[in-house]
Amino acid sequence: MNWPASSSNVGGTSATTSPRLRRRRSTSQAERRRRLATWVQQNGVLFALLLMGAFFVSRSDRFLTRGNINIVLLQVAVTGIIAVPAGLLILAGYVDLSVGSVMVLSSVAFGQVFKSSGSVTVAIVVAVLVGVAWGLTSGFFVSFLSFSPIVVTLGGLAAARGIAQVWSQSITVSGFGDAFGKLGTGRWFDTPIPIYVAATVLLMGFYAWNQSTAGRHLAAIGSDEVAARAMGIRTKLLPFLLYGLSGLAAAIGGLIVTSQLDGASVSIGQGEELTVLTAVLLGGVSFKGGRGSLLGVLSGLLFLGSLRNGLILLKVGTFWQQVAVGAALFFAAALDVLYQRLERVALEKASDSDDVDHVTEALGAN
Amino acid sequence: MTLRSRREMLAMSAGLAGAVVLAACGSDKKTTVTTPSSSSTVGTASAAATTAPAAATTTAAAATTAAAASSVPPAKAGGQIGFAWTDTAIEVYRPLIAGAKEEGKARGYQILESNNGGDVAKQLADVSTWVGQGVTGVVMLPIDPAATKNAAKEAKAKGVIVVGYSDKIDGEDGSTTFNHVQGGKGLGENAAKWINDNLSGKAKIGLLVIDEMQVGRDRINSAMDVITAKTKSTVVGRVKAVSAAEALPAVQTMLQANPDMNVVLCVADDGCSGASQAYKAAGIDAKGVYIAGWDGGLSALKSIKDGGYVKAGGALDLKEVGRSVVYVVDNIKNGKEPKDKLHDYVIVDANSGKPLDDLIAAFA
Repeated sequence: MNWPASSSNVGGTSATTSPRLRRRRSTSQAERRRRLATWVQQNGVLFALLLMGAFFVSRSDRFLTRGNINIVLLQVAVTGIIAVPAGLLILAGYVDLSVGSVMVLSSVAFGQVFKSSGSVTVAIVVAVLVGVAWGLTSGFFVSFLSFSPIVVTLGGLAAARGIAQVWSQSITVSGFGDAFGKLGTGRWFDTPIPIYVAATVLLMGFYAWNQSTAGRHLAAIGSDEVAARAMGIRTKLLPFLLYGLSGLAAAIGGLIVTSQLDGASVSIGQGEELTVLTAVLLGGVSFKGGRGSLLGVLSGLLFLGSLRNGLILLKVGTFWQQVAVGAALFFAAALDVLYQRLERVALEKASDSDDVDHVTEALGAN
Repeated sequence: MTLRSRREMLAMSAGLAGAVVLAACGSDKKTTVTTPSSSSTVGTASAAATTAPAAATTTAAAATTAAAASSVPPAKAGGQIGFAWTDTAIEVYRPLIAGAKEEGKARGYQILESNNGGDVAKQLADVSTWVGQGVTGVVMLPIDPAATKNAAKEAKAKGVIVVGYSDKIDGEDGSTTFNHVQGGKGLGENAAKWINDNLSGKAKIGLLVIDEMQVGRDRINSAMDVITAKTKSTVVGRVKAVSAAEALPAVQTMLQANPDMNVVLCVADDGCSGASQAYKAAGIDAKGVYIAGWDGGLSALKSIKDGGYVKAGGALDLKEVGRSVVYVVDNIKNGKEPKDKLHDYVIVDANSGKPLDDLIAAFA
């Protein structure tokens, strides 16, 4: 954890300080605030997760069992798969609100193709293609035609679910066989397979977010698209491809849930976009783009999953369960606002002390 | 016009054309289907996010109406009936709307549909649109009784017949409702018998509920009243879950806390398949588990017939319910009876035979 810097270098009395010393002190305060902001952004939800986990452990002897940990990880696996490209999109200043509906559309595509062809392989290929095609179409409108991402993907949210309903006539297709069932319910070393899929996607996400050029470019686009374009970054192509990946992730998520239910039901994916968004924002990714970490997103996911799981284990009433999830979303928004305020104060202080470049550079590096 | 503007115009035109084609393909050949506000599951998304799609959905709705109007002859004698149901994605909607359309065709009514995803604001917006266009009647499932009451008052002031669906509405002209208490008690009797026969009268029960709706409380609480009176069972969990996708994680978690939970009552039988999969994934044999729910969805009925985890269900004759949506309005218009139709549930299990087969056949 990056704890805030100590305050040892801000002593002294104002009556005797020189302007130079005051500037240095101001710079130091700005630096401390910057570090505090970074810590809050990167670790606040992790700290909250640990506190909450300790509380549930003290109240339920089932919470920390291997079986329950597997259940929590299994229940956040699909959201985790979708949250990786979703987080990258938000980092770049975009958003995909259609993921839940793309999940159900891919699921229905799988069910209907399986019903007509009898082939699981063909059905999977079609389902994945449907998801990717939907994502790329959204990406085309948003990236190349500069449509609002919220409008385009909310339109997609309604349209994809509508198509799924028309295509399936709201009838659940089921009975896909044991081989396909392993995708959602199979185990490897006593750990559910969806957890491995999610872990793989998260590892790829960590590489893309922190190590790859594309990840840095996406953060740059989210910070200042005009400046990023001037620097030669492909400000249209990268988000376009990312929407395609978002569609792919939603399709994979839809197939996993279809496998778990052994049914292509039109109720799949309802509200998934809100769950993904909550996890990403809880994890400290700024809704305005340019800032955030995938570790934070992972913490946000585990926070949500553990919260729901713990409340059920403690037999908390259904209304209070909803209040708790709503409070989590409020907590996410509050963290975002807190970070932005600390960031603004840091910049203002740095500006006073003629040290803007230093702080801006430091913030940008985040 | 700039290059970008031209591109946007081109894209918007293409989108609009696509919407018209989709609407034309999706609309019924004999009845008009309008969707004043399409389904959305965004829930508590920000105001900014929810305002934005309004224009898009309005455009889509207009396209749908236009496409349907061009291919559908207007109703003759009856007029139009707006049916403000909650979620058209639910499996039971198919036979329900089929019954309504059949009766509508016979009596000369067009059926207008609403898919509001359980959002009361969208439901009221749909009703307001229908009242504005001069429908004969609106049939509403009251998501929020207080809000629906005001909408009913406004509709009646403009001469529109108001019918409560599933639950009664203050000031309504008539109703088509379900005997939830009878259905709850009936399924409770079935569950109690199974618990006494198979578990020596002691079960650990998990409940999948939706407590904010009267129908949800009536079904679950009536069943539990009977089970509590006739067995020595205990409730080990109560979680909000309606659909299969919600029921799966809910039951998974309840099983972690209570591995010996052996009865699950689902407020809607779509949840039964999710509950079944949770037991299957946990490696628990179906023989010692009783899962049951209400509605009469195809998947649940087939599961009951096939044997396995789902042992019973409280089913409605969905086609008859759909027909009543039309004939209640028509009766009120023509001063006939019944103006209030109360539908009983049929309790079915693997031994039900023909009644179960008939319910499954309604989905054909």
